[in-house]
Amino acid sequence: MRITACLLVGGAMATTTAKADRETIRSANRPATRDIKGNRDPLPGGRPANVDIDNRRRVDVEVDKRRSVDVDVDNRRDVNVDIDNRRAVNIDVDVDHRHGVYWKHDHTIVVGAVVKTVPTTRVVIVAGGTSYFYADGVYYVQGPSGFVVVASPVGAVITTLPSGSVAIVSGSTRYFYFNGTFYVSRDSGFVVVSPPVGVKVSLLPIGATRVVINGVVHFQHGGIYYRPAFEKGVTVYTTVRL
Amino acid sequence: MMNMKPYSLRSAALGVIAGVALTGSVLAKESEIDPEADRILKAACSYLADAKAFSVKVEVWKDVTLPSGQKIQTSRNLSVNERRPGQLRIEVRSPHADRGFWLRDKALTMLDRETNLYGVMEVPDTIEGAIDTVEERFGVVVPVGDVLVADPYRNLMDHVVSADHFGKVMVQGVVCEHLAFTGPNADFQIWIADGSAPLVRKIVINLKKDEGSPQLTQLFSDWDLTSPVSDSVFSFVPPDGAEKIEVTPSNESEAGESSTPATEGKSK
Repeated sequence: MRITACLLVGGAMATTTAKADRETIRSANRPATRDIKGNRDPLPGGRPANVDIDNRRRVDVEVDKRRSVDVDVDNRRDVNVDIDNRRAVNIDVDVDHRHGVYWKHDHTIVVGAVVKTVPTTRVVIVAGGTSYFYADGVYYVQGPSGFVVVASPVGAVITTLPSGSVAIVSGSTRYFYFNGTFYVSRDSGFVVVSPPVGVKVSLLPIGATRVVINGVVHFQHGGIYYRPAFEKGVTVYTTVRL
Repeated sequence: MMNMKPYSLRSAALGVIAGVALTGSVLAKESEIDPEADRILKAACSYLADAKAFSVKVEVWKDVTLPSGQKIQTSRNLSVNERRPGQLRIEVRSPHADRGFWLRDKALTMLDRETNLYGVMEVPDTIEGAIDTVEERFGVVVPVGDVLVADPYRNLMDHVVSADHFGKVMVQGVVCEHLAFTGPNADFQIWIADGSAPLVRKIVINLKKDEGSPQLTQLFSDWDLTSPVSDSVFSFVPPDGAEKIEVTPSNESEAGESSTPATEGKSK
């Protein structure tokens, strides 16, 4: 499954081609080329392909007008997104599309958790004048009763991305996302940056809490709000500024 | 696209189907439809299409290529209830998904039980119209849609190039007719129960044009075409605490993460 798109979120859509992952013969073997409006190319010889089916497909094209709501909490309009997104994954109603991009669901890596030891692979990282222990995508500071898991400090630099990180392109920036932390690549390594607004992730940070703001459900973690939506059959979360 | 021609033996293709018992059938050239395959499929589809309502359980196995390139199979189990022409309920369960789908009154509701979030899509009033609309407008693929539509025969045969009949084999303890079809983008095999209730027992779809030619296997069981299905089965009632969220149209849903694992490292 391949998606390529050039999308100006704050304005009109430039070009978009998208193809859902297929699971039915009905979908797979129908003539594939169709423009964004759903017009189907005729079969060779000029014969319209399954005219009756085509007619059915044009029903209810005005399906979703609800995106105009809650614009106050959706700051995606501030973001120019230019995507070359190659998801070799399943996007359908029932397949988990996170294979290979899981991070460890371990309660000890929730911000605020206290552990007696940190992994032996830990390194010391200094950011903003504070020293942190870092291992496997988790930052710790020494506390009175152990090591306290803290939010990833902006400016911290690591040399290797945590296993399970995923790449996200937003505007001209390529981010690497892991458990609520966004990194960008620099000569010195991968640098923790403030979470960008308007990017979509398929996994919430561990420990994210559910909040309803102005009647709209969000998830909050580390000062960042994630607004859920169903997209191609799966739940995705867009970072928003409130 | 159906050309009803006599089939003929094509020995070159025999190696492809090594191990398959060819009982009275032979391989056809492209653009050929084995009349016996067509007859069996038509009878099965007619039998299913005649049902006003049915329920069935389906075990689905699908090839997935990991970012590493390794191919694995994922599985999930579906419980399907359908009442024609416009009511459908599908429950999907897998290690990573627990979802419900309700189609009724021109609305298809999707519930993610893991997050207790649901969304509603406006759709046409027929099952096939709903299947097509949610796929095209929202990128949502309704599983086993091939057997849910009002005219499964036409749905399956619309773009078929060739059809073959490979005789009788056992599928999960049931004697079935083994049919194989080729299409422009996908080839598929269907196993149909032999006897007076010719119901689909297995479908294998080979998405031959997709990267890695992934296969999808659907195993059908517990068909019930006679028991009444309660109205409540098709009515969505939000669970306690469930929140409604937006269903993003697929032409607005391009931003997001790549599945490509970010395993880059830096040398200091």
